[in-house]
Amino acid sequence: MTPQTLAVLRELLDDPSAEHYGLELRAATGLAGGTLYPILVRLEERGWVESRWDDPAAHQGRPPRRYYRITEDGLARARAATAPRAAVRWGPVGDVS
Amino acid sequence: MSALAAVLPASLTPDQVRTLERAYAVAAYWHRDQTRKSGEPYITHPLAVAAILAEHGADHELLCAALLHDVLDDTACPVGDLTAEFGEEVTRLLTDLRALDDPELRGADWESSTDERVLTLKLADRLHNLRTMRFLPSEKQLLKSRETLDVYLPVADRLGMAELGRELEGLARTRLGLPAFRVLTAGAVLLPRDVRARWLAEWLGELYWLSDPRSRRRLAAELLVGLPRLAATLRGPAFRRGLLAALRWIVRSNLRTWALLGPLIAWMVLETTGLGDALTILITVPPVLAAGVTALRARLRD
Repeated sequence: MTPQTLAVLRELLDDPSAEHYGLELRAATGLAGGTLYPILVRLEERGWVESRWDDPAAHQGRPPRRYYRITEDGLARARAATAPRAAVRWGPVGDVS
Repeated sequence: MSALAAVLPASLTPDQVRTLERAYAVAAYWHRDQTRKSGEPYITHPLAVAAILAEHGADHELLCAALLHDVLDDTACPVGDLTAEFGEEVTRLLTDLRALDDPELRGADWESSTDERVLTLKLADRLHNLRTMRFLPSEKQLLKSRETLDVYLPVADRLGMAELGRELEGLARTRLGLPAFRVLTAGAVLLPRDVRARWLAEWLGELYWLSDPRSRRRLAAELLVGLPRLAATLRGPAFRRGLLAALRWIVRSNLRTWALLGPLIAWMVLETTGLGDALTILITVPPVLAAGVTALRARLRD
């Protein structure tokens, strides 16, 4: 996993129930727009992230925004992926046989 | 009537609500055969204008005028009927609003001499028209956008309606600052056809919320640069592998590489105006491209 993808995941994990739009993730991660969207596409393909258009009633003719949020499935896997390596090494030792 | 009920503020008295329901019914009656350029029933427009005003804390008279604001201009509804039913004040708001659109009636100092409520109504009307202007012919869109920046933005500032002003400005500048989005639209042909509109809609949504033109241009440039990568991502891993294989095959041979880059350089040279510029391009561009090809080969070597 690339550092850019990790940065996006960390942002999404920060408040897992929050929905983020592209511009917000771009500002928070410092990634360029052209880098951010392919990452979101890949995460969504894998089922880690889901997205939706905002409520049509809320924008009254303004162009709608697309919101991204981490999924249940993505939450567990993203936590493992973004955890510092040391924590893995120090984890409880299971059955080694 | 539920469309209206959703719009009305809770602070109105039952009497005021009844009057507004009546105004809505009267407007819907007179606009009954008319449609917006979008194809929607015309009444959706006065309703949306009333909704905008309600968000800005307008009183019931102004909301009433909002619902009826196009009845005098666009239908055969007699002024007397409106006065009899909704009172002198509502009719005055409507006739003053009509005067605003007529350069001969409004007077030179209309921006300061017109009633603030009439100006507020005009701003809300303009805001909804800009929000839905994509259905208008493009020259009208440009005209309205320009007029919004020149005439209505200062009015919004003076009335202290900062939020509404920002949105007006955003809409008008997005339309006038079109090159960024137009270039993006052209570049989007790289994306798979079935998802092209979805991505353009998402980016338009983001560009819309950026208020200053420079950050809009910057985002558009970033997105443009990222288009090939997004296209490759959207087309899936098989496509990416194919693209990579094709790229490897091309750069493996000098002939193939320069057969591809040659026309590009020729085009750049021909597009420049002066001999000096053409020479500068011929001297500087090929070595830069050659360095790029070398770097690419190094990266593609397994």
